[in-house]
Amino acid sequence: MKIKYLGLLLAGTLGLNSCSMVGDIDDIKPYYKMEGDNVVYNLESAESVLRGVYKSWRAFNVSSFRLYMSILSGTAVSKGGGLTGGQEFVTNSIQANNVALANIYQGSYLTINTANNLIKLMERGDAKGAPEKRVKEIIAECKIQRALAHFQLLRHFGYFFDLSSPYGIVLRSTPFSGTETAPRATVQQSYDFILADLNDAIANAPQNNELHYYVTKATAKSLKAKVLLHMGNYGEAETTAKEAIDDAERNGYQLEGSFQTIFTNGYDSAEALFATYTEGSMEVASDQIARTTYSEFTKRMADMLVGKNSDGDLNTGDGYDQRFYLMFNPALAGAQGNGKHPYSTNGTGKHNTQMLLRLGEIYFIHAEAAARNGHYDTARHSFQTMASRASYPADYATGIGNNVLLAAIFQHKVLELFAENGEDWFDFVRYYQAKNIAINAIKSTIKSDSQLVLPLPQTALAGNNQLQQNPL
Amino acid sequence: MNFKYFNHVRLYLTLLLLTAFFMEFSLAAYAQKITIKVHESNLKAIIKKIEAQSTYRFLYADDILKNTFPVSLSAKDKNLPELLNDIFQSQPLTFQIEDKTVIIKNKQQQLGTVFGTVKQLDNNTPMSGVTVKIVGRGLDLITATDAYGNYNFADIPHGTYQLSYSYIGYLTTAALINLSEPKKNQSMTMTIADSRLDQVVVIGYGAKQQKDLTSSISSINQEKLADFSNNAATFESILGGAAKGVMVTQNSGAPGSTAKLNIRGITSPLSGSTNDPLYVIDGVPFFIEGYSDFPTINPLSNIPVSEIESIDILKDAAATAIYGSRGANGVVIVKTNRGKKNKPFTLSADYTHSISNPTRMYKPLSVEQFKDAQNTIIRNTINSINDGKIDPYEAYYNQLPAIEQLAFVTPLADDGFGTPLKYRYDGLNNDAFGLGNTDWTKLIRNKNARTSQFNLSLNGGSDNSNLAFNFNAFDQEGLYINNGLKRYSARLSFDSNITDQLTAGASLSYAYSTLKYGQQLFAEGNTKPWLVRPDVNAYDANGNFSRIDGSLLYGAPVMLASPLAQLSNRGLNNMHQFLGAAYAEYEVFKNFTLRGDVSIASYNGGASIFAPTFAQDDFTAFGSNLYATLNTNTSNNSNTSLNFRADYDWKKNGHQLYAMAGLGFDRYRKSGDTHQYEEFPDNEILTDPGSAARDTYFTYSRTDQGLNSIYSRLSYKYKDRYLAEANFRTDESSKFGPGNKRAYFPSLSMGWRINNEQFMQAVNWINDLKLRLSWGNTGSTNISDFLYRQFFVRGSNDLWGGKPAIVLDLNVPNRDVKWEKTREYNAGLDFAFFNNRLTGNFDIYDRYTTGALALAPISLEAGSSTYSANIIDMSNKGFEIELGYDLIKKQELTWNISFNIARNRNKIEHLNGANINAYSLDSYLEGYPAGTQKGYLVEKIFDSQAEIDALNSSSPTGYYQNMATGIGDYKYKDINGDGVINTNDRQVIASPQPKYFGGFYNRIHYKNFNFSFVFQYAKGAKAIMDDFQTSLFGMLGQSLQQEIYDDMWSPTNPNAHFAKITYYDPAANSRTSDRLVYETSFLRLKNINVSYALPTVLTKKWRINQVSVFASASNLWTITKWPGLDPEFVGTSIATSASSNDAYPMSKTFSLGIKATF
Repeated sequence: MKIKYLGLLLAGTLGLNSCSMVGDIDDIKPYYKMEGDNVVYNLESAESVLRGVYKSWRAFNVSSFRLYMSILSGTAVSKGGGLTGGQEFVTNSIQANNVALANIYQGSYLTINTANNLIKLMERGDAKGAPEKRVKEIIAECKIQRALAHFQLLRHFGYFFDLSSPYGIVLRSTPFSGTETAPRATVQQSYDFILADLNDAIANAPQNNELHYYVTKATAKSLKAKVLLHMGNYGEAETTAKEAIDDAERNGYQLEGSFQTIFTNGYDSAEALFATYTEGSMEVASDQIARTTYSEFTKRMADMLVGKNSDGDLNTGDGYDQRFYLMFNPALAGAQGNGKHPYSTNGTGKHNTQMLLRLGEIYFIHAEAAARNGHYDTARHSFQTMASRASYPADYATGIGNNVLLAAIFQHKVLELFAENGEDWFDFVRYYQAKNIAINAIKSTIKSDSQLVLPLPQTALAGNNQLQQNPL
Repeated sequence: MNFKYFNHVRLYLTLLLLTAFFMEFSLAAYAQKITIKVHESNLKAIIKKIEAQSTYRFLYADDILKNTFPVSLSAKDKNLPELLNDIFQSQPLTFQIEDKTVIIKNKQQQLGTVFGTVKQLDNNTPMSGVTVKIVGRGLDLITATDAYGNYNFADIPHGTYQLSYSYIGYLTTAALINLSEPKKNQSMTMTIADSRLDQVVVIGYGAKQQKDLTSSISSINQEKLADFSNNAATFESILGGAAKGVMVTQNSGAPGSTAKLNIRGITSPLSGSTNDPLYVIDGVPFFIEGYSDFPTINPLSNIPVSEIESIDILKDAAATAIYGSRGANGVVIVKTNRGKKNKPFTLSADYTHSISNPTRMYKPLSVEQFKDAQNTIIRNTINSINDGKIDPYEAYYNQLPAIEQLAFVTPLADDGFGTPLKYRYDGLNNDAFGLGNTDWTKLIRNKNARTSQFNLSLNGGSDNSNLAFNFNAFDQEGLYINNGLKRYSARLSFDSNITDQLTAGASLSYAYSTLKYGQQLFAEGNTKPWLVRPDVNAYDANGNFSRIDGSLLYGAPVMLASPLAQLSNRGLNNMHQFLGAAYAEYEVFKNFTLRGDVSIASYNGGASIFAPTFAQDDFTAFGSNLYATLNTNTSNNSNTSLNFRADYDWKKNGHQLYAMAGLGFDRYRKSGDTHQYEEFPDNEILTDPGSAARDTYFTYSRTDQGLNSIYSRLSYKYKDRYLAEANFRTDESSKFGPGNKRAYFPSLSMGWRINNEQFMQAVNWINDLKLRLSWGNTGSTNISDFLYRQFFVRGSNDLWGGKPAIVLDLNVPNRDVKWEKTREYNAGLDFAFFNNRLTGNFDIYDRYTTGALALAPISLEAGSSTYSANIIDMSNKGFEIELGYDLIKKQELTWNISFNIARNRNKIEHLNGANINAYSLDSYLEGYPAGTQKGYLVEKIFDSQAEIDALNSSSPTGYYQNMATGIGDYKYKDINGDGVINTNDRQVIASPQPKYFGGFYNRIHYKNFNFSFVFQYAKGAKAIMDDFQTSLFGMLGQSLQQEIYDDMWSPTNPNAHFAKITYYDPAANSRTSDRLVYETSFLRLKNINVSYALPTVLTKKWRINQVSVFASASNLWTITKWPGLDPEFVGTSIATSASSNDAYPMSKTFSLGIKATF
C-alpha cells in the first residue's frame, strides 16, 4: 500500500520536474538577452552593436537638450509651455541638480561606454571571419563616436578654453564593468585623448560612405579641426579644416546649394558630416524645438546684417538675414515654428534630423582660424562661400575690414548654426576667452566667468567620489 | 375433537404455563453448568458447542441466524439461561427454553421516545432553534428545539445513541444515552462558546487555535466580511477598519480597481515595491503588481467576496517568517469556501442589486464665474506688467499672446524696437468666449449606476467527502458613461478520505472578467472635467464633439478633446484566471502525516484601448499628425507552487509538541507584449491591429523567477499555559547573483496563558489572559531579475538607418545585490474578561529594515544611472489595540461592538545617499516617514509695497522672493534668515502617515433581524491639494477650482486664504506651500447592513429552508476637512502619497438583496 503511494509521489515529482516546477534555482535563466561573451560573434553581429553606438545620439538624454545651449547664449528663448529645467538656462543660474545636466552627462557617456564595449570585443577578435580592414574601420568609427562624446562633455562641463586647467573630464577607454570611479583628467589630457582617437580614426575609418549618418575619415578630420579650434591651436586648425574640406569634397560631401535644402534633405544631405537618422515611426529623436523661438538678440542681429538696423519685416523677410528668415518665415517655418525642423514629429517618412556636424561649419572654422592666423584672404574666401549661399553679394567678404572680420564671421556663424547644436554658445565662450567680446555682449544675465561652464551634475558627484565640482 | 391430540396440547399448555410462572425455578431446576470460551465466533458454532456440553437442543430456522453478530465470550460453569442471556443480548434474536429445547426467534422491536428541554447554562432560559441530532443503530435524525426549548424524537428503537446539540455561538455538546424504556428524558444545558479562543486560525503551512497563538494574527470570518459590504466586487477594498493595524487605502473608485493594503508600514521605500503584503489564496502565493486602475495582475479582483470563508492577516515576523522572503510586509491568507463533512447538501442562491453615485464631485464654476475669473487674472497680469513686475520682453512672448486671445489690450509705451512696455486693459473680448453653458462633470456621469450580483452555491458532504461549488456573476456599471465591469467566476472544491490514512482534495476555479472604459482618469490639467471651460458647447453645429482650444496652454493652436469626447475611447480589458490546487495527506502512523500539495495559478489578460481621432488631443499645430491609435498588451502569467511537508504531533503528561518541516518550490513565469498601432482608415469598425497603417512600438518580455525553500516549525505547549514556537526558513532566489541567492529567516515566539495558572483560578472575571512575545526576521526581493549581470538587448526602436541595433541594457550590474532584511520584535496581550463579554488584544512592535533596495548612486560615467543596491535603512514602530464588548447579551437580542485603533511610525533611518529622482527628492528624508512633502510656509499675503521694497533692499540678490512680488502675493517665511526665499526655505509640511487609524464595528441581532454598521477612520495625515496649485498658476482658458475662486485675493478680498492669481504665476504663488496643505483625516460610515430572515413557518410552505432579505448602504457619509474628492485619494506611489489625486470618484451605494437556501 505505502509503496504504491510512494511510487505515485515519486512519479508525480519527476513529472513536475520535467515541466520545471521544481529544480535547481541556477537553472533559471534570462530570456532574450545577450552578454559580453556572445553578443559579437561575426561581422553582422558587430555591425548591429555598431549601429547601437550610433543610435545613442538619438537618445532622449542628449537629443532632447541639444538646443539648451542656445537658450544659455540667449540666441533662442523658450515660448509658451516652457522647457524641462529650462528656466535656469534662461536665467544662466544653473544649479547642479538641474535635470538637463545629468541627462546630457549620462547620455554622452552612454555613447562612450557602448563604443568602449564594441572596441574591446573587436580588438579581442570576437567578430569571427570579419575582414581585418572592416574590423579596423569599426574600431575607428567607435573612436570617432567616443571622441565626439568626450568633446561634447569637455565643452559642456570642462574648462575647454583653458589648456592649463585641471578641470577636464573623466576619460573612459574601457567598458564600465562595476563600480569603478576615476577622477577628472586635466583639460590638456582630455584634448590629447580626443585627438588620439581622431588621429586613429583618420588613419583607419572608412574612406567614404554615401550614408551620411555614418562617419568617415572626413568626419574625423573635420571634428579634429573643430577640436583644434577649441584648443586655440589656430594654425593646425586652419590647415586641418582646409584638408577636411578638401577630403570631404573628394569623398561625396558638398555644401548644399541652398540653406533650406540642408534641412529638407536632412540626413540625406551631402553637407552632413554626421547627422542622426530619423525616419518613420521608430527612428525618431525627441526635441523641444516647438517650445522655442528666436530671441530679440538674434532678431536684431539678423536685422543689422542686412540693410539698416531696424528695417526688418518679419512678414516678407526683407531686411533680415535669409537664414534667420528661413527659419521663422511663416510659410516655411512649419509646424515646429522653425524652418530647420520642417518635418512632422510622427508618422511615416522623414523626420527632423539633428545635424551633429556639417560641412558649412567647417568653412566657418576654417575662416575663423585663418582670420586669427592673419590669413585674411583665405578667411574671406571660406567666409564668402557661406555668405553667398545666404544670398549676400559676391563681394560681401571683401567689404569687411580685417579688424571686424572675426566679428562678422562670428555673427554669420551664429545665424548659420543657431538652434541646431548649441554651437553659438561655445563660440561665445571662446570669443570671450579670446577677449574678442565682452561677457555681457549677448545676455544680460551672464555676469561672471563661473556661468560659462555648466556645473557637474549632482548625481555624477554622488556616484563618483573622485569627481571634483567646477569652482563656483 | 381428537382427545389424544388434546392431551398432547394440554401437555404443551401446561409446560408453557409452568415455564411462564416458574421460569426461575425451572431454569434452576434444569440448571446445567457450561464452560465456554470463544472469540469472534459465529452464533451457530457457539450453539453447537453448547449442545455438546448439555442436554438441551436448539430449535431455529437456519436463515434466522444470517444477520447475527459474532460473539466473544468467556464463561466458566455458567447456567445455561444466564449464558444465553449474555449471548443473545446483543443479537437481534431472543430465546425461549421449553423443556430441553431452546427456541430461537426474532426479537420483538421495541420503540421509545427521546425528548428533553435545552436551556442556557447561565440563566436557565430555554433555547429555541437548537439543532439536535441523534445518531446510532443506523439512524441519523435531526430536529430543532421549539420556542420552549423542547425537542422530541419519537419511534426510536431501543438501543444506544449519541445525541448532539449545536447552536451558533454555543459550544456543541453531546450525550450518550441508552434507550430501553418508552420515554427517555434527556435535557441539556448549553454554554456560550468563546469562539475567539477556539476559532481556528490559518497560519502559514498549517492552522492553529486562536488560544495557542504566540504571534500577531488578525482573522476575519465570512459573517464579518458580509457586514463590511455585500455589494463590493473585491474583498480587500472592504477591509478598511476591519482588522487592527491593517491600513487600507482605496485610491480609486473605478470598477475593477483594488485597494492598497499596508501592514505595519513601509519597509522598501525606493525599490519600486508597493510594500503590499503577500497574498496567499487557497495556498497559492501572489504579489500584487502595480496600482494603476488596470493592474496587469491582480488575483484579488477576481475573487467574489461571497466565496471567501476566512481571511487571516499575519502581521509580526514570528507569523510571517514562515513565508521568509516574502513576509516582510505581512501575509494575507484567504481561504475560500469548502464543503463540510457530514453536513447535508444545501443549495443557496442570492441576488443583490445596487445603485451607485459619486460620494462627491467637484462643483465647476458657472460661465459667469469663469469669465469673471479670466477677467481678474488678466487684470492682475496687465497690472503686473505695467508695474514693472513682469519683464516686458518676457511678457511679449509669454503673457501677451495668451491675453490677446481673450481680451482687448492696447499697447502704450514702446522700447523703440517694436516691443511695448505698458498696456491698457480694455476688457474681455466676448467673441473669444463660446455661447455654451456646459457642466462637463454632469455630461460624463452615468447617473444611478447599477450593479447586480448573483451567487449560487452548493455545499455539503458525506462521512468521507465534502464538496462545494460556487458560481458568481457580477455586472457593474461605472460612474462614468461607457464604463463597466462584468465578471463570471466558478469554483469547485472537494476533499475526500480515500482510506483511513489517505486524504486528498482539490479546488479549481476559473474567472473571466471584462472591463470596458472610455477614460478612467482625467489626469491632464485641461481635461479635468471641472476645470474645462464651461462656455464651450459639448457638440458643434454638425453634432460632432467640440474641441477645446489649447493654445493658451500650449502656446500653439493645439485642439484638445473634451472630457466627453475622451469617453469615446474604447478601452477593453479581458482577464482569464485559473486557479487550481490539489493536495494529498497520508498518515504514515498516528500523529505523523506527510503532505504534498501543488498549485497552479494562471492569469492571461489582454488589454486594448482604441483612441479615435475625435477623442484625441490634436497636436498637428506642433507638427505631428493626428492619427487614431490602438494600444494593446497581453500578459500571460503563471505561478506554480509545490510543497512537501511532514507534520508530527506528540502529547504526553501535559506536554504537547508539534513539528513541521517542508520543502517548497515556487516558480513564476511571465510573458507579455505591447503594441502601439497608429493611423486607421476608420474610427468605428476598422479598428483592429490588422487595419492599422503601422505598428509604431512594440515590446516583448519573458521572465522566469524561482524560489526554492526549506521551512520548519516547532511548537510546544505545556498544560495550556506555556506556549512556544520557533520557525525557520531558508530561501534561495533566482534574482540574486552567486553567493547572494540564499537567505535565512528565523523566528521565535512565546506565550503565557496566565489565566490557566493555579494562582489565577480564584479570579473569576478573567476568562483569558495571554502574554505573547516574539522576534523574527523576514526579507524581500524587491528588484528586477538578474540585476547582477550586464546585458545587451534590442528594443523595437533600436534601429539605425532602418537596420536593427543592439544596445547596452540600461541596468548597470551590481554583483553584490542581495536580500532586504527586516527584523521585528512584537509583544502582545490577549484578554477576555467578565464571562467573555469584554475581549481584546494589544500589540506593540518594533521593526527595522536594513539594506532596502533602491536605485543607488553610480558613477554616471557608466552611461546609465540605473543601479540598484541595498542601501536604505528603515524603521517602523507602532501599536495596535482591538476591543470587543457585548453590550447586550440576551437570547433574542445581542449587540456586539468592536473597536480598533493602531498607530505606525515609519522613519527613514539612513538613506546612505540613495540616488533619488530629482522630482521625488523631498519625499525621502532621513528622520522622516517615507512620502513626505516639503514646501514653503506662508506668513501672510503682502499688503504693502513698502514692506516688499524693504525686504528686497535687504536681500543679497536684490529680491526677497522675486521681481514679480507685489501686493496680494504670498509672503513666504525666510526660514534660514538669509534675506532671500529659495529652496532652502522649505520644510516638511505634509506627511502621509496618520497619527492613528482604525475602525468601529457594531452588530445587533434581534430575533430574525441583523443590523450592523461599520465606521472607518484615520487621523493626522496631511497632503497637498495639488489641484489648487494648477488654479493658482493662473492658466487662461481654463476654469478655476471653486474653493480658489471663492477665496482668492483681490482688492475687495484682502483677507483671502489664497494669493492673487496672475497668468503664468510670475510671483510664484503656486509654489508648494502650507496654504495648500489639508488634513486627510476622516471618519467614514463605511457600511450599514440590515438583514431579515423570513420566519421558517413561511418559508417551509414554499419548501425553502431559509429566505433572508437584506439592504445595505456603503460610504453613506464621510466627515473630513479634505477639499479633494475623497480623503483616501492621494497619490498611489510613495513619493506622491502626500499629494492629491483626483482619481475616479468613490461611490455611495445602496443595495437590496435576497438570499434563499434550499
